[in-house]
Amino acid sequence: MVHVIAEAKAGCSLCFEYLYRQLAGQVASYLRWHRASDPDGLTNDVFAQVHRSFDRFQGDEAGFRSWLFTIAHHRMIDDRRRSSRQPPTRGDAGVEESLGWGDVEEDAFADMSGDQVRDLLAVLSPDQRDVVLLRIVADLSVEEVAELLHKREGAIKALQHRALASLRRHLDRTAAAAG
Amino acid sequence: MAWIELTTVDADDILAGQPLPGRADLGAVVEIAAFLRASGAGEPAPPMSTGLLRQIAGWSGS
Repeated sequence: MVHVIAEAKAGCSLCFEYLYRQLAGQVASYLRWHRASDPDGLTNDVFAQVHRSFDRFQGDEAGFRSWLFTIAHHRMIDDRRRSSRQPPTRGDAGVEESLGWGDVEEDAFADMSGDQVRDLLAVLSPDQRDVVLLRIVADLSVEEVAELLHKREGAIKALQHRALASLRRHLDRTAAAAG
Repeated sequence: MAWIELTTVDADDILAGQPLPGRADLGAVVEIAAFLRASGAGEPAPPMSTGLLRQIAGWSGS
């Protein structure tokens, strides 16, 4: 991958398309879980910015992923600000429709829906949600998330710990109410 | 706020969607993490827009 990144940076359009095919789904998923107004369109915007700014990037594959999601995170924040000034749209729906899972994954998560998970994410504070989605969906390390969010690593660990505690507490209450 | 006994490694395992031995109390949280992880890994790349295709091909757009 690091070779492809270098070639894409040097102007190889096929290499850039390869990077897009490898990573755009994860970016779209990250934006979708954040309820972005147009995750697919924003993903294209993110990669357009990557292409424009490639000269400024220096690093390896992990660094590229971190840089890519930094751009995606900032786009998401811009989108959230724009959306707060506009009437709500249906753009945040459709997580299930966008999943490209096979039968095995569908069976494994037969008891869970995207709506349920989205409701659970709403239990978290914005900071906790950022950390959880960056750690899980973007697959970034604590160190990378800390750099992206301009926080200390200890703060990120505390946020993810509180997020897990909040999720468990909410799930316990839900189970108690149901049973 | 309720606290839970977790090491940093435990938290990493949960976020990776891996069950912790002897921690059935966190099973549902692990499932959520696994669901989110699978959604990110399984989502197909959206189609490239005409604008992005033009940009990477170095077209002038006019």
